[in-house]
Amino acid sequence: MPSAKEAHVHILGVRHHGPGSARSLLATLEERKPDCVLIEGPADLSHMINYLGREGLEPPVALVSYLPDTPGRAAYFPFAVFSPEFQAIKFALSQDIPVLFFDLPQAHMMAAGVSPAMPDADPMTLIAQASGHKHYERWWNGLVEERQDAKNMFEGVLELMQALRETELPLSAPDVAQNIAEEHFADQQAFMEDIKKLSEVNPALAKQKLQEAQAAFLEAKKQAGLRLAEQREAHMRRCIRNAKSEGYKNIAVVCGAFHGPALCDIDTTYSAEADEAMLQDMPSVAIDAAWVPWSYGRLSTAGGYGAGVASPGWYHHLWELGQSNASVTEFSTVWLSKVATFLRKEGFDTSSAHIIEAVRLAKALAALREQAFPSLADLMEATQTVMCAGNPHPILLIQAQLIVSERMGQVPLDMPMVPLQKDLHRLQQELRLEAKLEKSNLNLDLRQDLHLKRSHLLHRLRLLSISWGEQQAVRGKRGNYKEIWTLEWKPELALKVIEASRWGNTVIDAAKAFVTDLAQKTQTLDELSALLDAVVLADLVDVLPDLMKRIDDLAASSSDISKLMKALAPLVRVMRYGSVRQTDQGAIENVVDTLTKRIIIGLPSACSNIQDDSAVELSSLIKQTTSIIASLNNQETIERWQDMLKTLSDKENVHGLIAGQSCRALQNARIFSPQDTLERLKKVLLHTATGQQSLEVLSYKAFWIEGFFKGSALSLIHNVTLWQTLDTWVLDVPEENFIEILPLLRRTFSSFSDASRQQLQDRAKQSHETSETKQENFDAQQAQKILPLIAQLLGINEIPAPQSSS
Amino acid sequence: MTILRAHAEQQFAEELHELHLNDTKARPENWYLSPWAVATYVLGGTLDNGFTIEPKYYGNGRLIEIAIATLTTDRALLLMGIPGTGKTWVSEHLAAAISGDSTLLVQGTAGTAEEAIRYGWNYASLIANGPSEEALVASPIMNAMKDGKIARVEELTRIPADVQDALITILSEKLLPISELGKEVQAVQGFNVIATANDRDKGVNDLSSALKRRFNTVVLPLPSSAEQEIHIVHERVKNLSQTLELPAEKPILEEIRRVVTIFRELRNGKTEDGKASLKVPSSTLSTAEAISVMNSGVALATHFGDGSLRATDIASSLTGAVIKDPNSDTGIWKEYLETVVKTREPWQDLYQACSALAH
Repeated sequence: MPSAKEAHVHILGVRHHGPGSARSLLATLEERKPDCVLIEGPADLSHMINYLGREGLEPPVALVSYLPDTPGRAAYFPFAVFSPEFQAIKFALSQDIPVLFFDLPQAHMMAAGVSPAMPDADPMTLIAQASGHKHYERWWNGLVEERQDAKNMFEGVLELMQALRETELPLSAPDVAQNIAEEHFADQQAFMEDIKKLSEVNPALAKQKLQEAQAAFLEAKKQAGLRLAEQREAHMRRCIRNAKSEGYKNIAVVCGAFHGPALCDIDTTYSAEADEAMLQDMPSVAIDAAWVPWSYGRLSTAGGYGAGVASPGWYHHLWELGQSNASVTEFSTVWLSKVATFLRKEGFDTSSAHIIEAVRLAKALAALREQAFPSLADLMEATQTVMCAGNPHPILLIQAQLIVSERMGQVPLDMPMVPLQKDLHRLQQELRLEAKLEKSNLNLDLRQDLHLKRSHLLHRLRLLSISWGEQQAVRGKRGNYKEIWTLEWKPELALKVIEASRWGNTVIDAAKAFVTDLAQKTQTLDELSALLDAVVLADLVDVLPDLMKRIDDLAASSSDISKLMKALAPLVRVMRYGSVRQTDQGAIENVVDTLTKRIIIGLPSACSNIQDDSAVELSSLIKQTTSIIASLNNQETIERWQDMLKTLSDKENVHGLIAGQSCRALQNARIFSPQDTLERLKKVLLHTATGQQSLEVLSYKAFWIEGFFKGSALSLIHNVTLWQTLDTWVLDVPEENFIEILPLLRRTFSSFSDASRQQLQDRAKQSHETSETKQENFDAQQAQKILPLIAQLLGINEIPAPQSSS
Repeated sequence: MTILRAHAEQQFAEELHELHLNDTKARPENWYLSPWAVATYVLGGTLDNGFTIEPKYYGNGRLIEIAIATLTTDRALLLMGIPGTGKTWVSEHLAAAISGDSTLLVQGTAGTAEEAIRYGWNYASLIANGPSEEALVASPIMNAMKDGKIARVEELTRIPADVQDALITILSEKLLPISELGKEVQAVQGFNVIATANDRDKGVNDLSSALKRRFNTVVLPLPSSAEQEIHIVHERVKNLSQTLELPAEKPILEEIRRVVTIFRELRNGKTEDGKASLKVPSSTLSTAEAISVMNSGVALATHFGDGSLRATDIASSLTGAVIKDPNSDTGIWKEYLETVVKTREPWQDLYQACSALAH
């Protein structure tokens, strides 16, 4: 019996997230009946432990601690149902025993800015290899996690770790490291200044100094990490001492197996004074914490979490069956039945005979490999060999769906959460949108109130970088009121929610605050108008006036016409969809009006004396703007735009491409008669003041042709006069210049359809033949026969008599 | 007279004997060795008495363990893989180690008849005396069933589908009815079948799902790394030159490395440094072919050269191995010579030798 002074401390070294450890731990706790449980976890977050006992909480969940002003910096402590820590906490809560975290407080950890040095899996791998295993994970699974008989496991593990630490743990030299760090980085800026100055004089030496400093920095970081690791264990010892002095007699200490040896015999091996000295004057920051739902995918090593486990789904299976006292054979049969069910669902033929044979093979494999029972590797090899005919591909699916599994935890609403998180939960329930891990499609019909609200929520979240949904393009007319989303909730989005919470306590407030802030920061008009688009989609009408004013201000001060034109498109889109979205239109109309006015005034000079490539950009913008303005249905604006196009087509110094294009646009709008157009074409192509066809003039003409004819050959085909003018000009161009402008012409003609090009080619051939040949095969009587039908089609009763001359 | 190629159980008789003597583990009925000893025989190792067992298979040991474990269950074993990955080799050694006999073999061809799997008749005796057990000619499989041994079926997918299905009763009921005599042969413990199939020719006579269900399938892959492949070729060339009475001088490892590199690069369609992509010829370029290229190179050097292996000795068999279809492969090979071999400084001799042949 321990004396009154000597409390009994049970060091229970576990593997984080090991089901075997959890089971043995639970059995040991039940047997030793501790009066206090200390668990590896940040001591300053002990108050969060109680929540794990709440009804409605379902692991996996994670305790996340973060800096309130920069939530991007965060640390996670995940708990699964098979985590020994989770089971120990549940045990303590059910028995009403005090349970505390006893690792170094997160306030210090976060302030340290480095992660504590931990032995990586390497030394473990060495031991695994020594016992004849290639993989640490597989070895530990066989030794601890899949083991049935757990007696004295903790003593064994402790001894193993003792041996490991004696040989593998390097000693840190914190004092030296600190000196280096202080020397070089006490004033980092000054140091960089020095280096800059030095590099002007002696670049080689400067480079060398910088490299030395970097090496010293890395070393200092490593040493700081080592020191932090020691501080952690010092803190753990301090907590054990505290528990003792508070009068607990039977203390259970649950920690990572590796820490075990440092927590034994703390009164004889370690001095309390030294530990306290080590923990003195540690820097500290204010932190916040919350419970968030976690997933097995994130728990697996594949998910990029350091202390992860490769097969959470398998561990879950081990834990569940272990709880129901299943026999060794059941572990295999139940697992392989699960696999078979899964394979059937995926469309592979899998019979009961397959399961039986796979179990037999797995057992034979275990026997051959001298294991007491089949390991996961044996089971999966049996699956591949028996159920999948040697095909490795289904195994990959099983790996993702069963071995890792997509299980996700739940956190009840009354737990400490940031208010934004609560609001999001409320909205998810209200709008019946479940946060699911697997991808799913959501079709929204915005004419329905519920769907409209869902759309608003998803757009708001997207503004806040909580990318739960991704919007898919919708084609066709229904684009006005239809939205298709792909929803995929990722556990790390919980952190994004916390991050976004600095903008506000509800989704709508946060989104508004975010937009207002971004609008103030944004300096370019097109970005701002893209933001406007998002704002309207997210139905944040309150911020619209502010945003409009900002756009108005920027438009007034912006002299870049192309940016104004770019900004116009989203604005008009917003106007058009406004009725579906039920937004206020007046403000937008005002801005659109101002913008078009400014564009109309500024465009002619913006198109004068410019380079070819900016002309190309402007030309496509003008084309876009022309159709936008036509869609406004505002006759006054349209007329003003057409007047401006007239200016563009006639003004000197306007780039040929734009002049030609404007002329064409006006012809299409029937502002220019064919006669007007022809005059302009003749003027451009044939009237040269000097008669000299300099290259510059030629290229102007070629660009003009491109602008005019691009995309449609119809006017060339059907307007003979246009054709002849062009023909005359081409024949007139001297041969050496013709070669120069050929690529430009080709660009125009290659935009025509094949059929049009064929027609033009025929015409080019014909135009130099006599026109009589065409008439020769004409049979008037034959032609007359089809006239009644044509008349019928056209709805004309009388057929005009054929003219005798033809 | 020396036998050109000894059976596995003859060539490694001593190893099998030593393993048998030192085998303390439980043996399934009619097995010559325990499953553990079989694994040691195939994968190599050292016995307690210091006797060294040569590895027969260099690839993933877990695959061999799966194969052996399968043979301890009711299911038959199907070894799949592209030609030259060692299917027949593994099957022969497994049969030798388990039954001490690798000769109960049915070679699958397009012309394999049901008699080869079930039984045939001595027609003279059949006509003279009518159906009797004396007139019956047992197939290797029937013999294996009677004696509790491993029967081997090579190239299972080359056998016509209706003939393949004769195996179903044998594998599921473990019996072979002889309807003419009103009798049947029931398999005794220790009987099982190892079949091999080539998944390149998969379309030829795919197994019916009824038959497929009687097999556990183990896919033997190509060697995973260049080092492993070089090692395999080296060991096998060493062994074969012994049996072919070629001089003991080892083929230069460098030469093997070059051939293996060429094979791997052409097989994978890219150079080992991953910088250039290559066209893949129609031949499979397996490890077995690399071994045969090296062997004929050694033979050429011994009998027609000065005894030491040179680039010219390998060139012809190398070219022959790569160019299986003269129409398509010749261009690919020439391109490889010009773009890859030529640019490698130490490979100039090989380039000269090969391009002299290619033109």
